[in-house]
Order: sequence, then C-alpha cells, then structure tokens
Amino acid sequence: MPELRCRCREDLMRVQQEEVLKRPALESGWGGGVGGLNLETPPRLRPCPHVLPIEDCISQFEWQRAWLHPWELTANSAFKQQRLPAWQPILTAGTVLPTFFVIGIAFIPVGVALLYFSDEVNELVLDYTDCNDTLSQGRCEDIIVNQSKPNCLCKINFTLEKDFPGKVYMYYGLTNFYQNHRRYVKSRDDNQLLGQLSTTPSTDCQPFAFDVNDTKKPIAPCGAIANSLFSDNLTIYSNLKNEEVPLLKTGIAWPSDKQIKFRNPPGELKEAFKDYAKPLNWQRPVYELDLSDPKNNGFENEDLIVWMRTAALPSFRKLYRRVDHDKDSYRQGLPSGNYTLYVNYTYQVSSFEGRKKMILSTTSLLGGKNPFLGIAYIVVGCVCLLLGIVFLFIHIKCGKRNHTDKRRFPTLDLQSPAVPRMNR
Amino acid sequence: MAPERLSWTCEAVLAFLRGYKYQVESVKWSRPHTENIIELIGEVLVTLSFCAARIGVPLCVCLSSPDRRLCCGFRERPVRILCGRAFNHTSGFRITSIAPKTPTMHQESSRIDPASPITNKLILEAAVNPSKHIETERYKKVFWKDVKVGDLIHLSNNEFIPADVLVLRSSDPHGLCYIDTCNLDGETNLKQRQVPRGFIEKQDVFQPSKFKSVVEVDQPTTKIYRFHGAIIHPTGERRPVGTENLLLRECVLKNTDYVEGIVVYAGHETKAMLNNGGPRYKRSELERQMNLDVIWCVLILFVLCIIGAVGCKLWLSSYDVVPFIPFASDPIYEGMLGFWTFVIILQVMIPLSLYVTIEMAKLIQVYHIHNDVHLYDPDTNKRIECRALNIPEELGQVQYVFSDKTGTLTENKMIFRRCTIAGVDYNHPPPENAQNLKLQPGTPMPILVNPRLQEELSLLEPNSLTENGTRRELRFNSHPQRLQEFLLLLAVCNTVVVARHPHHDMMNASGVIELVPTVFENHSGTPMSSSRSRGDIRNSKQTVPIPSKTVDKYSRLSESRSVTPSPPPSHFQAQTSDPPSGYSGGKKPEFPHQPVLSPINSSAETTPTADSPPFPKLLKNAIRPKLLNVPSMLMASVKKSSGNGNNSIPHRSTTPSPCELKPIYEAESPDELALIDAAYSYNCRLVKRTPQYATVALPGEGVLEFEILQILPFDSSRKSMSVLLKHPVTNEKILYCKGADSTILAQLAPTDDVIMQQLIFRTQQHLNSYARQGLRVLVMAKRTVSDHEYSDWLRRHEEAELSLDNRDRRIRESYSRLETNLTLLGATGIEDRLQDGVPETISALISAGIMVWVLTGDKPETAINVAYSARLFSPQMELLKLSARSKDAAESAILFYLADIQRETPLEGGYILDRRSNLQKPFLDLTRYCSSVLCCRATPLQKAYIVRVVKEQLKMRTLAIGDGANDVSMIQTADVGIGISGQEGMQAVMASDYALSRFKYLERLLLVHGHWCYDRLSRMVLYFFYKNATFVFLIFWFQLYCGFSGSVMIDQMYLMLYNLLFTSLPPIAIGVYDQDVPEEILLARPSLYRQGRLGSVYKPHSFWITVADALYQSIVIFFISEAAYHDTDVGIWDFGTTVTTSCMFVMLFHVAIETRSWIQRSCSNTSSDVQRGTNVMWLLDGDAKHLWRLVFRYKLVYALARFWCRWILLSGDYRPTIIHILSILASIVAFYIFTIVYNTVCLECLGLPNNYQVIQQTMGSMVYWLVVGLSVPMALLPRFVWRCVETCLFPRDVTRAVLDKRRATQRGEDFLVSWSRSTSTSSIFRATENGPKNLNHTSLTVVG
Repeated sequence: MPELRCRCREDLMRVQQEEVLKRPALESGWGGGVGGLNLETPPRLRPCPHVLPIEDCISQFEWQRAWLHPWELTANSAFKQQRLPAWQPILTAGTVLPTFFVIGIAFIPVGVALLYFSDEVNELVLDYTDCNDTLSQGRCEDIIVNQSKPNCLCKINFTLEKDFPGKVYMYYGLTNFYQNHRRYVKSRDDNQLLGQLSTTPSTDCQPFAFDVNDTKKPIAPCGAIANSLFSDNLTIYSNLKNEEVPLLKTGIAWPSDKQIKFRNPPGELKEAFKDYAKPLNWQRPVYELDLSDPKNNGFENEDLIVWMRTAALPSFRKLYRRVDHDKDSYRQGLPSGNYTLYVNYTYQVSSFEGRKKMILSTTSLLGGKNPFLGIAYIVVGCVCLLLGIVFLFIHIKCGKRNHTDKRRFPTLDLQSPAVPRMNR
Repeated sequence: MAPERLSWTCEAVLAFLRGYKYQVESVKWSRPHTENIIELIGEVLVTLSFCAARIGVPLCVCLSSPDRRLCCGFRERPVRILCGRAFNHTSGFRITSIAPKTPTMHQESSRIDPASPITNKLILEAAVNPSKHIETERYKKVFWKDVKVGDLIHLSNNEFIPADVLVLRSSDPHGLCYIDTCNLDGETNLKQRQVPRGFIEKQDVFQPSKFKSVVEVDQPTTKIYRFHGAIIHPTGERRPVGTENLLLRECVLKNTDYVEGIVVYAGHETKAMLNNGGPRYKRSELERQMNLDVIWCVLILFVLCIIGAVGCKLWLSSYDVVPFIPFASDPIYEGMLGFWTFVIILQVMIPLSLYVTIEMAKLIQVYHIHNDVHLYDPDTNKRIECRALNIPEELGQVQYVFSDKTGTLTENKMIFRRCTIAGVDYNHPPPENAQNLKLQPGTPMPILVNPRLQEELSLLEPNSLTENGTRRELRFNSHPQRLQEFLLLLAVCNTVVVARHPHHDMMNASGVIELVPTVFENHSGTPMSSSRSRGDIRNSKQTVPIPSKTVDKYSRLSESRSVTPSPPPSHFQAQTSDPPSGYSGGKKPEFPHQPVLSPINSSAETTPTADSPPFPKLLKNAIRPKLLNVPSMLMASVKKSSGNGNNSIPHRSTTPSPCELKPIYEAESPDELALIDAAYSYNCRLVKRTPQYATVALPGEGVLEFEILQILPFDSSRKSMSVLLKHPVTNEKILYCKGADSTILAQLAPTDDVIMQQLIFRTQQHLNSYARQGLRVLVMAKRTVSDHEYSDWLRRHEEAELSLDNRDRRIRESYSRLETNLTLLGATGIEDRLQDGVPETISALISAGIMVWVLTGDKPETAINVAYSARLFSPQMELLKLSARSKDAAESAILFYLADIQRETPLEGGYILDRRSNLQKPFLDLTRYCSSVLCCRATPLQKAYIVRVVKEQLKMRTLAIGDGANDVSMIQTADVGIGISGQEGMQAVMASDYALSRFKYLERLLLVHGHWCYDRLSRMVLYFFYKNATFVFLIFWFQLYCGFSGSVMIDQMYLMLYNLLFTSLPPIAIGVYDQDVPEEILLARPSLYRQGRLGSVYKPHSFWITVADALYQSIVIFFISEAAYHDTDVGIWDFGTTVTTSCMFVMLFHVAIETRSWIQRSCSNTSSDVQRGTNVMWLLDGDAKHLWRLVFRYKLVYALARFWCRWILLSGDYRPTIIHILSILASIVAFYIFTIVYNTVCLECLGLPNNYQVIQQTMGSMVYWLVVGLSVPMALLPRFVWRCVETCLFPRDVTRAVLDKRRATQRGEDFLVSWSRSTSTSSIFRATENGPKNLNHTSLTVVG
C-alpha cells in the first residue's frame, strides 16, 4: 500500500508541477513568472494517471490530501532536495593510477627541456668587490670607506671562453643586500616619482625626506631606496677589438614603469628640481644621472627605475646594460676573447658584508641560467612514476581483494526479528 | 491560509523582530515625528531610570528593546531592557478615559474594511474626543500591529488574543470566559477568566465609549500568572483586578461568544512576547572543538611571532650600522616592535573568516533541511522548523537520544479500548480497517460499541421494562446499575467544558453589536432555561422565531434510543467467554453487527459541511433535522469493509435528531476526552457543565442535574482527581474518583465481602492485562460521603486553604483525606497508538549506534509494551528491571547487575529506572552495558536530570525529543532539543531547536542531514585551518629572507581578499553541497552514522595533521619559488604574486581532492524543464523571502548569503553547471580578474605598495607558470597519496559503502538508485532514467 501511495503522489506531483509551469507561460510569459501563479489556490488536479483504479490507489481521504501544498511542489527540486546528480570520485588505486603516470610522463620531458634551456644560457659572473684601484693599488672598498679618495677606478680582465650568441645582457649582482626589508621597501614616495613634486614628501621617506644639511630642502627622489641607488659605473673594453663594447642604457626597465609609473615633472628638469635636494648618498642630482642622454634623466632614468623595483631576495641581480647588437662586430652576440671591465667604484658593500658582481648573460625561455626547475620537474616526474608503479602494485594486489571483501557491513534486516505486537 | 501559517512561523522564529518593527511603525504612525524622536532619546534615559513599580499604563506604549536580537547574535543571553515610557507625553493625553486615545486617527479611517486579510480584532472605532463627542460607536477591524495600549477591543470565540487584555465584558451572563493557554504554557485545559468585580453587574449596560475609568497595572513582567492592577473609577473608587481578569496574548478565546476588554499590554510588553526568548544559542561539539583549535592557532601564531621577534633582534645586532635601512635603532627595541608587527602580519592564522563562513554554511544547510520534502508531513501540512540555526552539525554527532513516549512515539490520540466494570471486561476492538482510517487526518478513532455492554445497559431503559416497579428493583446494586454509575463517573469526573454549539459573535459586519435584551435576563440555572436562552440568542439573531422544545426533545431522545435494535443475546455470551488476556485485535471479526457511533463533533471539522459557515449550518439544523445525516467517509469505508453487516447499522447513528448533535467537549487531556466520548457512546451524556452544576443525560433516567460541591483537581503526587457531587434525587453526596491504579487501589475501603474482594481481584487481573497490552489504565471508584463527614472535611479543608505555610501540601493532604474508603467501580484501558514509522526509526537509530532511552511518566508495564512494539526492546534482549523503594535497595540491585554483567560477557538488556537516586555512577556504568534504557514514572525534572547526568557525567552528546510541556526542561537540557508539534500544544516546540511533526522524521534528520552537516562542516573547518596556516607559513618563510623585518611580499590587497574572494567559494561548496555518501546509502546503512557519532572526521589530532600538511605545502610553495627565482632580477611583488598564485592553485586543487561529490548537472528525476520553470519563479519569490527571514538576524551575512543563494540557485538549477567546479573556477577567475584590473588601474591606490603591471609582467614570464605547475603537484602529493592509500588499504566506512554500492551497480544487481549515474556507467543509466521502470524502482527505494 505505501508503495502505491508513494507512486501516486509522485505522479500527482508531476502533473501538478506541469500545471504550475504552464500557467505563467500562458498568462504572462516567462518574464512575469511570479505574477501568474496564484499560490493560494493549488493548481487543478488531474485524475491519478495510474493504471490501477483510483479507489484502490488512494482512498477518498487520501485523495484530498493528494492536493499538494504549493510549497511541496516547488520545493521538490533536485537542488533544494540536494539530489542533484553527482559524480563521486573515489581515490582508489585504480582511479589514481592514470594521474600519476600522466604527471610523471608529462613532467620528465618538461624537466629535461628546462635543463636544456638552462644549459643553453651563457653566463659570466665576475665578482669585483675586492678589486684594487688602478692608481693607488689599494682595495677600492677600503678607499671608499675611508673616503681617502673621491674616485676609485678598477680594471679587471676577463676572458669569454666562448661566443655569447644572441642578445647579451649585463647585470650587476648584489648579495646580502636586503632590499626587501620592511622599512626599506616602503621608504619611497610614489607620488613624487609620478612627477607630482611636493615640498612635503611622503612620511614613508623619513629620514630621507629632507636634506638636513642643505636648509632642509625636500629630497627628490626621497626615501631609502633611492638613496641607496647602485652607483658603480661599469664599462667593458674589448681587448680583441680594442674598443669599448657598446652598451645601451635604455630598454632595461619595464616599459610600463618607464612610461607611466615614473614621470618627470613638467618643464625643464633642472628648473623643476631646483628646490629639491639630491639624495644624501648621491654624487649628482637626479637630473644629471645620465650625462650622455638627456632623456634618460630625472625620475625616468632607467637605472633608477630598475633600482626602485625592489628585489625579492637578499641576493639579487639587476639589469644594468644591454649590449648594442646594432654595431657590426656584435651582431652575432658577444664574441669570445679577452675583455676588461672598468669599474668606477663608488658603491660601498662592506658594511653589510655584501658582494658585487658583474654578470654577462644571454637569455632563454626561462630567463637566466637556473637548472633548479629542470631538476625539480624531473624529480617530481620520477617520484610520480614511482608512485604510479607502487599503486599499480597495490591495485593488482588489493583491488581484487576488495571485490571479494565480505566483512563490510553486517546486513541489517529490520524486518526479521519477530517483534511482539502490542495486541498479542 | 498560507499567510496565516507563515505569519505563525514568523511569530515563532522572529517574534520579537516583527514586534519591534510593528511597534516602531505604530509609534510613528500615531505620534508626531518630533515626539517620536523625543521618545527615542527618552528611551535611553528611561532604560537607566526605569524602576518604578507602577506606571500609568494607559499611555505607556513601550518600545521594546530592538537590541535584543543583536545581542543574540553574540551568543549571549540577551539583556532584556524594558523601555517603558515613564515620562508622560503631552498633558492632553493624560486623560481619565482610556478609550479616546487616538481619536483623530480613527476618525479619518472610519470606513470598514472587512476584506483586509489578517484582521484579527475589532477596535472601538468611534471615540470620545474631549472636544468632539461622537455618538456613533462601532468596532473596526485592524491589524494586530495596530493594537495599542488603551484600545478597547472585541474578540470572538476561537480568536487569538492579540494583546494582553483586561476583560470588561463577556457574553456570558456571569461575566465568565475561557481561554486556551496552550500556546503559552502547553496546558491544554481551558482557563477561566472573568470580568472584574463591579463590572459584572454593569455588563448589560456597559458602553465602551462611556468607559471613563483609569486602569493602573504593574509594569510588564515575564510572569504569566502574575498580574495586579486596579481600575479607578471617575468617582475615585478603586477596584482591584488580577490574573483572573486578564486575557493573555496568543491564547485562544474559547467557549465564549465574545468578550470586550481594554488592552493593558501590547506588542512587546505582552507576557507572551516577554516569555518568548527566541531561539537559544547552543554551541555544538564541533564548534567547541574548533574553538579549542583556534586557541592552538593563537599559540602557533604566538610562537611564530616570538621566533620572528628574536630573529629580528639577532639579525639587527649582527650589523653595526645597517646601510640600507633608514635608521638603525636598538635591536632589542626593534625586536619588541617586530613582535607586534608579526602579530599584525600573521594574524591571518586566526581564521576569523571561518566564523562568518561557518555561519553562512550553516544557514544554507538549515535552508536545505527546512526545504526537505521528505520532512514534510502532508497530514498536518507542516515541515520541519529549524529554530536553531547554528547546530545542524550536532545532529550528526548525537550519541544518546532521549525520547518521550506519549505523543512522541505514540500518537497521543487516545482511544477508549477496554473497560472493566464490576469485574467484567468489555472490549472495544479497533475496526478492521483501522489502517485505512488512520490515514484520515484530524478525526479521532470511532469507538465500536461493545454490544454486550450496550445490551446490559439497555435493561435500564424505560421501555425495556414493562413496569416501573421492576425497574426500581433493578436499580439497587445490580450490575447494570454499576455500569450506569461507572458511565456517570466517566461523564462527570473530569474538567470537560461543554459547548452545545459553535460560538458565534453577535456583532454584525458593520461593527455594531446587536444586543438581545432577553439574553441576560434569565439566570440559567437549569438545562431547560439554559438551552432556551441559547436558542433565543440564535433565534433572535436571525429573527426566525422557533419555539424552543428542549424538554420535548429530550424525551424524544430517550424514545428514539429505545428503538435501538438489540443484537441477540446469544452473541454476548460468546464475548464474555473471551478471556481478557486473549485479547487480540485480529481475532474479533465476528461482530458484523457492531453499531458504529461516528463522532460527529470532530468530523464536523473535516466533513464538507464544515466549510460552510457555522451559523447557516445551525440554522439549517434547526429547521431540517436530518442535516447531519452526512454519510461520512468513515462510515462509507466501514460499510465497505464490513461487507454485509452494513444494513444493521442502527438507525440512530445515521439519522440523529437535532438534539443529538453531540456537544463539543473541550477537555484538559485527550484521556478525558476519550472517556467522555466513551460515556457518550453509551448514551450517558454530559449535557452542560457550570462551576456549580453538571447536567447529565442518563439513559433511563433522563436529564439529571448534579450539584458540584467540590472538585479535587488532578495533581501528579496524588495521581488522581475527584468530583464531589450531590445527587439531585437522592441528595446523596457522592465522591467520584478516578486515578492511577496504585493510588486508588490503595485507598479502597477494606471489605469483608467476598464478592467485593473477588471483584477487586478480578479488576486487578484485568488491569494487569491491560497494562500488558500497552494500554493506559485508570481506575474509577466512588465513595458516599455523609453530610456530617462532608461538613467536617469542608471545615478542615478551609483551614488548610487559609493556612499560610505549606498550603499546597496541606491542601493536598486534605484532598487525600477525602479520597479514602473508596468503593471500586471499574477501570478503563485507553490505547495510545504508536506513530507511523516509529519502530523503523528506532531500530535505525539503534543500528546507527545511538543509545535510545525512553523516558516516560507512564507505568512500567505499559511502557515496556510500547518499548517492545516500538522495537526499542527486542525479544532477544534480556530485561533488567530495577525498581526500588529505597536508595539502598536500588544500590544493591544496581551493583548486583553490574557485578553480574562484568563477570560474564556483556549482554544486551533493557533497563528500567523507577526512581531517581544518588547512584549516578553505578547506574550509568550499568547502562553502558545496556543497549537501550527505559525510564518510567519520570517527572519532567527527572527527565531533565537524567539527560543532564548523561550529558555531564558520561560526556555524551544528547538529543531529547518530546512533544509536551513536560518535556520542555529535557529539551532545553539536551544538546539538541527536538519538539514534536503534536497535540499537546506548542510549548515543546517553543523550547526546541528543531520542530518536527512526526517522530519518524528523526531518522532522516539525523542519519542524512546530521551526517552530511557534520561531515561537511568538519571538512570545511579543517580546510579553513589549513588554508590560513599555509598562507601564514608562506609569509613566515619570507621572513628568513628579509631579515625578520616583518616584510610581506604579498600585496595588502591580496592579503585582504585572499579569504574573502579568492578562496571563499570552494569551502562553502564543501560546507554546503558536498555529500560524502548519497542519502540512499545513508538511510540504507544507518551504521554510517558512526562517523559523526564518534567524531571521526574532525578529531583532535586532525588539526595537527592539517597544520603539518599546511607546513609542508607552504615549504614546497615558498621554496620552489625561492629556488626558481634565486639570484635573479625578480622584484618583491613579482615574487609575491607568483607565490600567491601557486598558493591559491594549491588551495583550490586541495579542495578538489577533498571534495567527495562533484555535482554534475541540473537534471533531476522529473523533467528538467519543470525544474527550470518552477525554480526560477520561486527562487525570486517564495523561498528567497523565507530565507530572507531566516537570515535577517545575521545582518552582516544577509546580503552575501542571499546573493550566494541566488547565484547558486540560478547556476545550480537553471543553467547546466557544476557547482564545485564552478566555485573553483570562479575563484580562479576572480583572482585573475581582480589582479589584472588592480594591477592595471591602480597606479597609486590607498597608499599601498605599487603593483602596477606586476601581474602582466609576471604572467609573461615562463618561470611563473612553471613554478605554479610544479608547486601544485608537489604540494598536494602527500595528501593525494595518503587519500589513495587510505581508500585502498584501510577505507573508511563511508568510502566502503560507496564502493560497495558502486560495485553492485556495475554488476547490474541494483540499478534502482539515481545517484549511481557516475563515471563509466553514466550513459547506461541516463538512458533509462526517465523510463517507467526506473520510476517504479525509485519509489520503491524511497519506501524501503
């Protein structure tokens, strides 16, 4: 009897639902859905479309009850009843096997390719921290620290063992320099760098906001980052060609930074900056950063822009120059041979035990030379393959067993025990 | 209909919110705006200074505290601030008359609007204005919200009372009226209220508009039965008023045509509202555990901060001067500062958003529970009502279920089943087609009259005997006489109130009362005059003069009865030979001639005639006697089933004369109703009842009017009630007493009479057999009290009543003094049928591993029987009975059993506690060995005590389910309280967290919804811990590279939105929509409930595993990025973006691993078009609105939740989509859209570090993608592997269940179930999905 009831109810429900659906569609179209449906009067009910005679299906009282409450109708959606069909992945050995193999098979070639690309990159790293002054033969670092001499120039010979094909970039590298220090990172004034000079720079710049010595002029660019701008001047002399390797000072910063984020104040630069002091550590004011190229001055100086993008890690390199490959002798890249690095040594690193490096590097898909990713990919791929094999083993061993596992659940037979009826 | 019901629910759930809203509206409406502001300002002052005991209420419209609900949000008992308005308004309002409070308002809306939908009462419309005196006085229908203090209102019978009203006038000549306080305190008996003394006399001439007195009352209190006040007449005379004059809000006016009264408390001040604390806040086990882990989070945070601070100090002190840092300072100072910096940057560790998300998830879960059609009861048209919004997961963790018996397991529809009178057992078996009859709602079971009893009774009837003389002889102590007396007791010894006809109001539609001058003239002392006066009311109303023929009717009544055909005597012999113990419902088909009495009164509610308004029906009644000859459905089915016996149905029952229209009995308890109905069936009819007189129509004796000398009310310690009557003919004073067998049998007069002793013995035998059949037994006895005894007793009783100390006890003793030396009359057995599906539910709960205890106040024998039939006990169990009079005996018994059990193997056993003792520990030890426990004779407090002991001593999570006021304390004590909205009023529902309409829904609620909610929330909580921990560890690792300076590589914006936007949807998808097991399996295998019961998803160590996983993953994420970017020109923000991205991807794939079910598409069993249509319509209307109500409390969450629901509703049903995948995709898309927009637009935003174009640059580089691609598999590898290993080698119950089912499906054993449309088999099953075969199966599955 209950089965019949249930079934009847379901049928009725369906019929009623159809009616509900039809109504608004007829009366007001899809747009005015709610308006067309009168909740108070349940939709007219059709006879139970059941094969059995109605009397057997439901008694007359039940018939009355078969009028469903409007709520019951509408609530009977798969969503509200949480009966939406669902796919239930179960992470058995069998199902995860493909995952492992796919990852393994995909990762190992990727890793190999990455290693290859990393190897393709030619890189020359030259640590010049301890170089000696060409004149006095003292360590430039010491000279600078003692300030016994305004300028310290060193000269380091190096050899490129092989040709550097393609585009060659020149970086300077610093170690142990915490550009990511909390106070350092925020010690800048972005509004100022946008060219909106103000006599009161952002408080973030403190204590590099005002020049203490020079009648408390505001500093431009203010802040610790700008103040610690890398100031060594690096040039390369090709002994083979007997000429200075042509290096480009532009195109080293992000275009977006160069064009939007760093703007010079309007008007003539010198005029604009006349009420502003240069940062304490700087030799020259901001409008004379690049003496060779007047456009590469002020806040739009690319060395400044590159420096202002603070590094994430304490050992970092920053793009310094590009080799100008338009010149005939460097069209194919940087040829092998002897070179000399000339350093105008002004930047002091001994206070934080840092090192300074000059790096010449070509690029690849990955950027610089970094074998880590390749190795990591290969390792992960191998691990996955290994796990895949292990799981294959498990699957073969245990997958079968599960099928014949009979100790799952004690079957619950609710009907079986002879329960004494109350009337007995 | 629907709005009313809706408003009711609303009332319950959001009672005070609405009240508040309405209050505000009404204040705004009735007063000038400025004054309103003054009031609001004053309210604050008043709140502080309001402590005056008495205030001038006439003008005190109270704005009840709106902040109560806000307080609730913070899980505290709301501080109830009563804001009376102590300062008076303008002097113009300080008037002596209450009525003319807002004259202008009523004038301008003088039209009558009878069509307004929720009009509930009438307000005196025309008012007396001091300046303008308007003579027309009419009542007008207004909304409840417009009822204000000082209004005069008019209420009709069966109307809900809208405010606390002081009665000034009643239709009753004595100024009485009755209210049903069921909604307030759960007591179903009617309470009498009366017009204050001094007004009774003026009733006839009472003119509302001329009411000039001032009413002074107490300030509003929560005490329902405490009310004091006074009416001060213009003459200065003070008249006290008290509780007996007050009608309380939410009660129903009963047995009174109409009342008029003045509102003394309205809206929020009403006692009902003050007593409605709203849903209480319970904290679930999961939440407690979660809070503990949050504390751990705090500790982890603390440790990280300490490490950071120390590192900061060490790093700084390694430098003399730090060149690139703007200023160097003392490293120790910097370290201290660093500590707080770390607290700020790492505070994400404490998952604040978890609390918001969890509330939201619970809300949506509750929404789904609320909307479950399987929890909808079409009979009562009620669905589950979730009153507590914050403990759905507790439903999945219940370990102990405590259930009430009466009304919870049983239907609480009392059916008179057996009686023994003078040692003879009379059976009233259920009709054969009881199963079918049961289906019809609201109709009590008909009683099949026992033919033998009928015949024996008929000996008393006048015309069965030829002469009066023989009849007289029969009267003395004959068996029929005993029967007669027994029936008389059934009819009289109760508190039943008789209503001869449905009450109707005399006010016409235009609001004018049509006064009938003759109504109140006659003091109706006799039944004749009473019924005449009522007849007059009726007649005069309709101005159709029908001569009253009451006396004649009564005589006709007896005549018509006399023609009842009596079944042949031989038949009865067969019945007597049937021993009582051999009773069996199925063995009694040999009564084809049983006359059936259809209970007309109640079926009148459901039969089609009830649809017509009561008044015309009455009229027709008077004119056409055969109106009630409605072949009810009941009769029809009886006819059908009993086959050829239908022609012998007595003429009487199908064609009742108009006077046989059964009176409407309104009884205190269903037992009484069953008894009086039984008496009625044997023509012993209570005709009328006043406090002084009870009028009974007895067969053979006509109408007798007994004077009621004393009513000894029922109380639980005496367990009996009595009525002392004065017989009108013999003038004997007779005490009729009914009560529990233990009480009455002990008080029987000692007798030497062998027959009498034998009679008592046999009655006891019958009683035992009744109890064994699970019937509720009552014993009836009587005592003749001599005048001397009576006056003696009365004197002492009055002394007791006047005594000051121990008054209750002394009165009780006094009652017991009278209830001695009783003579046994007989006993009754009343059946309380088990509800539908109770045995199945209980066995499912037991197999789910839940301990089921039944706590009842009933007799052990009855309770044990119910326990057997409810499958709480099985025959295989060994029953341990424990019932002891003293503590020592109980202790020794417990210890004996305990020793017994411990010595041998633990055995299953039922256990019966008869008496509470201090033996908690041994008792509880013992119960651990028992599979189920049954406690009998438990008082409400004992019930609560047992629940508390189990909860606190055993540290178990308890659920209490009950339906009556006696279960309230138990429900409130338990961790989860469930109320059955049954017949015993709303009290249990009010106290409960969830209100069900049937016990059987408990199974689904616990096994399916509880399981899901627990599982989902547990995993969601763990995921949240994981998510935040990972993020924090990432930031912490960066400190190793930035000198512990507290620098964060992740942009502030991402930090903020990480929890809010980027990773908020997937946890909710898990928390709300994930299903570890489909419901079919959960229902089929109750043992899966174990997972939640043992709390195995979220264990104490789960947190640490999660944190360890988070640690590992953060290491992987961070150091892969670090290594990949080592010694490159990467900027801090590029690096941060990469780390954030890979972190987010890891989080989202982590969700994917944790998700157990991917919701596929929006197709359902029925056609998806239908779904689409209805859903879109309803989503925008009905349920969104309902949700709106639910959510309103959470103002903060409200907007989000609704948005979420709409979105999910649309996407879930309207568009074919995948919720889980969608949530993940949405997160990813949100992340990229946001970062790109943010990095493009924001050149200089909010002073945040500049991220301009970072994401574009970063995404442009290959490394970014490679890092992300490497981090995800590597970070998730351990968890993934662990999940696989777990499934393969030691699968959990749920996994195994799903796997089993799937294998069964793949083997083709079972293709009934819709959920199995999965992976490889999907296409096959989708093809047959809508086929008729499948449909059939589905329905079968649902049933099974």
